[in-house]
Amino acid sequence: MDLNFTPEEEAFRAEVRAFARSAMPPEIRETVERGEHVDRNHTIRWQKILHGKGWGAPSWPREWGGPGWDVVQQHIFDEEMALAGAPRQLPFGLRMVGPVLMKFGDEAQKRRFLPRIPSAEDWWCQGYSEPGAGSDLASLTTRAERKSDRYVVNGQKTWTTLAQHADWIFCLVRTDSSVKKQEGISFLLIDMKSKGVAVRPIELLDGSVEVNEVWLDNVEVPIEQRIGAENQGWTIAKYLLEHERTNIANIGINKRELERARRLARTKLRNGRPFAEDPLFAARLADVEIELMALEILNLRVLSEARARGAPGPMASMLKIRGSEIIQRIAELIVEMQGSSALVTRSDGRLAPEPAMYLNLRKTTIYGGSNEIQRGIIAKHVLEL
Amino acid sequence: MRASSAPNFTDFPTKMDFSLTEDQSLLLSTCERWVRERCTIEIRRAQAKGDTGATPAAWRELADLGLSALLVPESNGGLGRPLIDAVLVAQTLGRGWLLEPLIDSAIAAPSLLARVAASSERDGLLERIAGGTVVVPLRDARVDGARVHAWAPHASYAEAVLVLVDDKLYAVESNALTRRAYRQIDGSAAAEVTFERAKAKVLAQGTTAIDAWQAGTDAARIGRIAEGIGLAKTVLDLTAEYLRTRKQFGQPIGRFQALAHRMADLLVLYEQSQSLMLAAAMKMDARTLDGAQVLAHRALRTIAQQAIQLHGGIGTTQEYALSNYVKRMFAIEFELGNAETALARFASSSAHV
Repeated sequence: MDLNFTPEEEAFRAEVRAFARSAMPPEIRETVERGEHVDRNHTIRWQKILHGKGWGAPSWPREWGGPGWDVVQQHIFDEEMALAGAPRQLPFGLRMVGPVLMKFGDEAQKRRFLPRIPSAEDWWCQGYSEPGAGSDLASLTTRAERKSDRYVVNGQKTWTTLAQHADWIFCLVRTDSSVKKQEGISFLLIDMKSKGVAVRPIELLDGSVEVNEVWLDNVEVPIEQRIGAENQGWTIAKYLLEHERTNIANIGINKRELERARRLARTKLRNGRPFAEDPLFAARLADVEIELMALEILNLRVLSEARARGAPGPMASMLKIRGSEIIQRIAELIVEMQGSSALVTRSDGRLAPEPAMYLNLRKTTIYGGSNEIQRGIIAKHVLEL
Repeated sequence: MRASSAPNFTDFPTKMDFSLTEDQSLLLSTCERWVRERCTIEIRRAQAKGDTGATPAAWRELADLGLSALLVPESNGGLGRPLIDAVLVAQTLGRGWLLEPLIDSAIAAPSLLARVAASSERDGLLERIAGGTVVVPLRDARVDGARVHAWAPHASYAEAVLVLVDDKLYAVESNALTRRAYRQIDGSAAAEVTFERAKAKVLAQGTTAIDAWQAGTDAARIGRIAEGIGLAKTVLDLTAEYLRTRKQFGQPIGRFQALAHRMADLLVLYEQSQSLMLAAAMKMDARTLDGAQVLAHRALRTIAQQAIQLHGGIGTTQEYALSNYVKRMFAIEFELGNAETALARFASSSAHV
C-alpha cells in the first residue's frame, strides 16, 4: 500500500503542467478563473490546441488517436488541466458517443465519426432525457419508424446540453412499442442540420443558456446512422452511462475552486476582518476542505480498483454524490464572501460570476443520474434487494 | 438477525483498494481469523466483566501472534514494522469490539518511546512491551503538590505507565501507583491513577519529551480512528443484514427508499472516513490526521445513531450485539478527544498552507 505516485507518474504530471502553462491562451484561463462560462470559440480553440499535442482524447486508446493513458494518468491530466484553468473538454463526443462507437459501431461508422471528435470538427450533444423520461429514462417516447433505408423520427428531447452549438446528436429512440420498455429502444446518430430538427433554448437560474429542448419533426435518418442492432439501444445506453461516471468526482475542478475560496477568505472582509479569521466561517471552509481531501483519496482508491478490475463499480456513485455536494458547498462559500455585491446585476441583466456559479451548480446533484438515483445504486448493491 | 454471530468479512465495498503487501495480507488474515474465532459476542461479553486489575487473557493471545511487538524496533526485540501495519491491525481487530490494550500499549507507547534517546530504562520498557507487558500513556495529568493525578484506559492493570508533566516525560512502575479501577461504559478496563512525582523515572525532558509525547498521542489517535472505523464496518454489516431480512408491510424493509438511502449515506461516510484514515496513517502529517479525526467523529456518531434507528426497537435493547458496539464507538470518540478541537486546529493551519 502506497499513496505516492510513481516517479514516472510525477514526471508525467510535470509534463502536463508545463504544457498547460505554455499552451493556454491567457484570455481562456482568465475566463475560467473568473468562474465565467467558456464560449464556443474558446472551447473549440482549446480542444484544437490539445489535439495538436496529441492529447485531444485523453481517455482514448492509441488506435483511435488517443494517447493510450491508463486511468491514473488520465486523472493526473484532468487534475492538472483543471488547476491550470483549462476549460472542461466536452464529454459528449469524448466520453459518451466515442466509447459507444468503439464498442458497438461498425468499421464504417468508426472511421466516419471517431476522428472528427478529438479534432473538434464535430460537436456532439446527448439526446437522452425527454419531458416524460428523466430518472426513468427507459420510458422515453420519441419514436423512429422504419421507412425502407431510413428512419423517420418524431418526438422531443430536453435538457440537451449545448445543443445550440452541436453538429450531431446521439439519440435514444423507440423503435418498438409492443415489448418491455427497455427492449424497444435504438441508438441513432442524427445530423443537427437535418430537416425537422429545431432547438429551443432553456434559460437556467443564472440566466445562462446551456441546455435546450430539441424537437424532432419527421426527421429522416439514414439507417447506417443506427449504432448496434435495432432495439439494442438500452444496452448501449447503459454502457454510456457507466463511462459518463468515470472522472465524475471532478477532483481537479473542486480543488481549483477550493483554492479560490481560500484565497478570497484571506482577502475579503466581513465585519472588518478577513473571512478566514471568523471562526465559524473558517470552520465551514475547513470542513469542505477535509471532505475534499477524503474524496481525493477515495477517488484514488476507486481508480486503483478500476485499474485492477476494469470497472469502477458502485463506488463511482459515491464519488458522484460527494463530488457534486462539495462543489455546491464551495460555490456557496464563494458567493457568501461577495456580501451584498452578489445581488448586483449588470446593465445587460447578467449576474456577477459568483452568484451565477452558485445558481448554475445546483444542477450537479441532479445531472448524470441524480444523487438519489446514485443512492439507490449503492443501496441496491449492498442490500442485494 | 446475527446477534450472536461473529463479525463477517464480506467485502463490499470496503475491500482495501490500495493493494496490501504480502506481509500485510498475512498479518491481517491472522487478525481476521482471530476476530472470527475469538470475538463472538458471547466471548466478548464475558471478557468485559472480568477483573479490572488483571491483564485480559486475550492480550496474551494477541501478544503470541506478535501484535505487541509490531512497532518495537528490532534492536529491542520487536518486529520493527511501519505504523501503517499497526493501523491496519487496529482496524481489523476493531471489528471484533476491542477490549485489549492494542492502541495504548502496542501503538502509542512504542511510538512515543522510539523518539526518546536510548537508555536502559527506555530499552527495558520497549523490550517488555514487545513481550506483551502492558505499558500505557496516561491522560490529562494534573499536578497536586508532590503528587500527580491522571487516568487512562487499561491503566487499571498496566505494569508501567508513561506520563508527561510540564516538560518531563516520566515512566512509573505499577508498584508506585495508587489506582481507582473501573469499567468504562463500553466494557474496557480503566483507572484513575495517582503517584508521587519523586518515585517516577525521567525518560526525557524539554523538546525531546514534548515531541515524543506528541508522537505517542498522534499514533494513539490514528490507531483509535482505525479501530473505530473497523467497528463501524461491523455495525454497517449488521445493519445491512437487518434491512435485508426484517420484513414489514410484506417486504424487506431495505426496499423502502427512506431506509435504503440512509444506508447509502452511511456507506459514503464510512468510505470517505476510511480513505482519509489510510492517508493519515501513511503520511502522518498534522493536517491529514486532524481531517481524519474530524471525519471519524462524524462517521462514528452518525453510523452508531443511524444503526440504532434503522434497527428500530431491537436497536435500543441491551441484549442485541449492537448495544455493545455502539457503546464502544461512543467511548472511542471520547478517548479520541472531540471533533471541534480537531476542526479548529485544521482551520487555523489552513491559513499557513
